[in-house]
Amino acid sequence: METGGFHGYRKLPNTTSGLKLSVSDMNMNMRQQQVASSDQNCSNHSAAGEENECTVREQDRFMPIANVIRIMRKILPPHAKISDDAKETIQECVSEYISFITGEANERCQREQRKTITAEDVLWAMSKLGFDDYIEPLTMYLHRYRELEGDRTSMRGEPLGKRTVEYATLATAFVPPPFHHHNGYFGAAMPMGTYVRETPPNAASSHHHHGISNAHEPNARSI
Amino acid sequence: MVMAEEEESGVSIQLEFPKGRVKKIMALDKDVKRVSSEALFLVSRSTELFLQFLAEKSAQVAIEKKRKTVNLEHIREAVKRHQPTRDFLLDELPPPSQPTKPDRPTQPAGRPKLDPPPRGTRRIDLFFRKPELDDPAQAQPPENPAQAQPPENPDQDQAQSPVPVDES
Repeated sequence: METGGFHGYRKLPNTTSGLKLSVSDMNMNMRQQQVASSDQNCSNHSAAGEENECTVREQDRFMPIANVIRIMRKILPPHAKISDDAKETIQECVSEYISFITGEANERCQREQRKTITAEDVLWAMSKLGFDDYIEPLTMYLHRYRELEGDRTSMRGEPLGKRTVEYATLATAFVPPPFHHHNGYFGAAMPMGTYVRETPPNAASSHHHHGISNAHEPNARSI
Repeated sequence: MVMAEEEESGVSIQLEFPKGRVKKIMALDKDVKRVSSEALFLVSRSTELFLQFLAEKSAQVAIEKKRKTVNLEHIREAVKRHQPTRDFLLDELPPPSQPTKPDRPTQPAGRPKLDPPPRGTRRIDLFFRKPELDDPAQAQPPENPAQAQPPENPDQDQAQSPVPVDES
């Protein structure tokens, strides 16, 4: 059995490379999650008042594609279409913009030895970074926001509930896709015989990963 | 309640982007400690304005090039035309695959992908990065030493031409 498997392993160098990368991919994903989680924990620890998040997933680095597309649809002509690479790039542009504004606002905040980024810091960042056209509409929105601050305070319970539901949905949706993709990839890339031989270790690895995912979810939910 | 608020204010302040996600993206910067709710609201709203701007300009570029599908090159061109956006964003965009031919007349939609979701693409990128970052101990790449056997052509110059001596 081992000899046969090894022989098959040797015969398919590309498959071997793919397999190796896949294993590395899983390890790297786990490490990245740990690193990200650690960073997030540090950040959350600093921000005592903020809500705590245990896990930072890859998808959390970008705005939801559905929201992005919906806003774009309002601007684009009715017959216009958006290519997949454009959608992906727009997601990255939006995240980059948020980080850009945040960095500048935080710089001013720290220069004045404050710990909380305020609306004024954000408006100042807009002006400094060249987005002067945004200041007037944002100021108007801010006034509206402050006028409704009292009502919003009483409304805080409901948004939290919605947020919890959303998070649960995301948590539920997170697990299946990678597993399916992983399995499909091996099924497509390797011959049937070799795939059958490789099934036990793959299943074990997948199960291990799945277990880790499950371990993370309860913590997140409890918090 | 939301509808009532909208009617009272006359201007909708409902956010298109989820605040939690914006907060997470802001928190990716380790130096960021705390963000007030007003600041979070402004960043979310500002991001919407930026996205609308980007969509509008990209659409204009696509129309100029007589395309119905907005693709990567249209976004790049839109970014180039706005100095503030260009300053922080142009370097972040993917490099152009064909600098000499920004538009593909035959397939404006771009290359078909097996994994449209961004996560799939992320995974593919990670695949390519793995070997440079780590050397997994478990994976043992097969050793195929190149047994190059260069042809040996020894030059055996047997220049032993005896000089004839004429004994006269």
